[in-house]
Amino acid sequence: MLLPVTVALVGCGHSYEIPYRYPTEVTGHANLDDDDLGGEPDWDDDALVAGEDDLPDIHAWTDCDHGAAVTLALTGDVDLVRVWDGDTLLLDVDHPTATYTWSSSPELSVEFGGFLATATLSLTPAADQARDVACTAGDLALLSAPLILNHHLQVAEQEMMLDAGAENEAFVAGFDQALGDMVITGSVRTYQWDVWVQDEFEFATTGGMGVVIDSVRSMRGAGLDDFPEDNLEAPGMAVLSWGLGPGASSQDSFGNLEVSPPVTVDGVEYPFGRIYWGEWQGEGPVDELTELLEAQKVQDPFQVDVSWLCVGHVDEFSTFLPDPSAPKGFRLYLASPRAGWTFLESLDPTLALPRYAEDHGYDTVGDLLADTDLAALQEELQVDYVDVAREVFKRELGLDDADIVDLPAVYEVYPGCGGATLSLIPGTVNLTVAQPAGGETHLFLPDPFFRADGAPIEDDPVVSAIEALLPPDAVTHWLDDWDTYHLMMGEVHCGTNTRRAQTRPWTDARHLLEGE
Amino acid sequence: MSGLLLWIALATAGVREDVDAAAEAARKADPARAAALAAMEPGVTRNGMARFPGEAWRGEHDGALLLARLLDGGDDEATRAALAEAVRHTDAPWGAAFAWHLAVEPSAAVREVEADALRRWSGPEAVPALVSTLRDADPAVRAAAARSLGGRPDGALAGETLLVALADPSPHVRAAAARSVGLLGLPRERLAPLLSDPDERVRVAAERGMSR
Repeated sequence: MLLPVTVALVGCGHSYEIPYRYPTEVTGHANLDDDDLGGEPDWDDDALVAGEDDLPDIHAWTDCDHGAAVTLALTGDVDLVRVWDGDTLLLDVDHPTATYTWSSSPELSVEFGGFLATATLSLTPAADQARDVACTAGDLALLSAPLILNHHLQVAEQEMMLDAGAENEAFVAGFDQALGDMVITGSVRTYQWDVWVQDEFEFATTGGMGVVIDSVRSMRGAGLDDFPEDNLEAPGMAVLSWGLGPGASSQDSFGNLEVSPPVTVDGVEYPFGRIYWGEWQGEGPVDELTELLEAQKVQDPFQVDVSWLCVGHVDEFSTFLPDPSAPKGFRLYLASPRAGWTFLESLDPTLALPRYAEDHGYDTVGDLLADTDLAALQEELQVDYVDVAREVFKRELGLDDADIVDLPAVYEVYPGCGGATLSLIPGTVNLTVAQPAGGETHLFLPDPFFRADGAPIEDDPVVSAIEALLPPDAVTHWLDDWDTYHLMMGEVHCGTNTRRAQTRPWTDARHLLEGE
Repeated sequence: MSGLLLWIALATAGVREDVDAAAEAARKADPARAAALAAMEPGVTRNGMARFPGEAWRGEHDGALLLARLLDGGDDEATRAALAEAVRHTDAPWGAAFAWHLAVEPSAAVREVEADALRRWSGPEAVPALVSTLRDADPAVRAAAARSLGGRPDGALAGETLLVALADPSPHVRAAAARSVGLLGLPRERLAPLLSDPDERVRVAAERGMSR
């Protein structure tokens, strides 16, 4: 029989002995990576694979003596939980109960096959134990971690984009100079000139495992579809998809799936922030994904209307930036067409805009201001959509006006988009934020080219206006994204993706699971 | 042929020939560039639309070559839409060509691009072409025509047709027409019935139009 385990505490002249408390719960994470690089998630393998390191050990669960005869029973999400004895499968959905002889050093471990799987492992001692063998009945709760998406305040580890040679040489060089070895590039030739790296995958974690959510936007090997498998999949990093490609829309791109920083809303703390996505005339990403994200509870998703945008992604008009000087440590930046027009009205109307003459049909600031239809559009977008979204963000994230910055922006109706709009001036809100560990906050923004050809960027009034609104300690990098991204309906954020570190245990959000 | 279509036909007479002649001259001037543009495939925008990147329209003769390629009609629908979007950035006579082409282009997606683009064409062909397009079979194309008229300095010339479009069966068209009626200062009392339209977008556009 095992001796009662005690822990001695000595202090203040007294000593106490308190009994060791056997765990009543074990948490783990879904075993969906591919530790043996066998081509399948480890959960789908029939046996434990070489290098397996995702199964919590539960041998120290109870105090049965060596040789105790027990019955083990698994209840709950038995289709998502397995119990192993060493390399031998002991309990699963087909065999949820088993007799078992307890050893002095049992090698019991639990394996999860999904997020937030819950089960109970019950131990019942046999009635006819051998002499001097004792065993206590008990239940062990089993719980796997939720899937948690990253947000902009997390430390950046890698920055990804495609290399299109001379076409985006300055763009890639801007990241290289600021982030050095953190930058990972793929060739546009390998990925069929699908430069929209933000849209193809979303970084997440579940417990200690990394997860890359692979969008359905380009399934079956098209464009960037293989980028996550080629560059990111590894032991400890699972690549997973939800939904099917044929029903995919632009809203399935992950520039349309973002996460706020940690917030407290009506007294409820969301330590990993809240997920939000855009809905275009009521339609968002595929149901399989949105239902999964909603089921995780800890980042309680909400939606905003993106029907006014031709591409229809939330990153076309909103972003969050870390700002230590802000009341909450961050601010929400919202594109403001009204502020954009007011800004234009403050400029010299004779200011020549050669880039805009060539590609947008406006020779000067005065030409823009003379377009009464364009002016009316800005106010309509502000009232009908941006102000509405602003209230949604305030309500869902517990923000007030001091937490929000209106970033001047100008949109135009784009031919063939059913009256929906695109950024006319490159959308500076569509920026990439990267904070390397221990380093500065780097912001990568699209160069607006709102100046004469060859004029220094310091002369650009849009740059000056935006810089004045950004966090004071941020280091800004204005990148030429005009041809490869802006004219193809995207900007800097669309063309990049940032892998970030998750250092916070998911159990910090445990309170959000209670009561379920 | 209606009087309007006859006017458009007369106004755009010779446009096709002019475009073809300009394209032929461009081919002779730079055969390699012409061959490259003829074979060029569009890129994919962020939302999956086909569009030609900037380098496709920045050459001296690129506009004529791209416009001729569009009018030839040999490409698929997505590529033709991309060609229509690209040529509007050039100095080719694309507006006059669209005015003619809108009546013969089979693809609604291409016609929508052309109707939207005509908002910024300064030539006299635009308003008659857009008026005619307000009778297009496709509601997205009619809505584009209504939008474009509202953004043109001479859009009020199409006032009567825009007022008729307020009763279009498509709410997209009614909303676009209501917005344009307001922007152009046409009789705003004609918007009053739309304040009880079953579609919210139409009601908002009417209310806003009446308050301009």
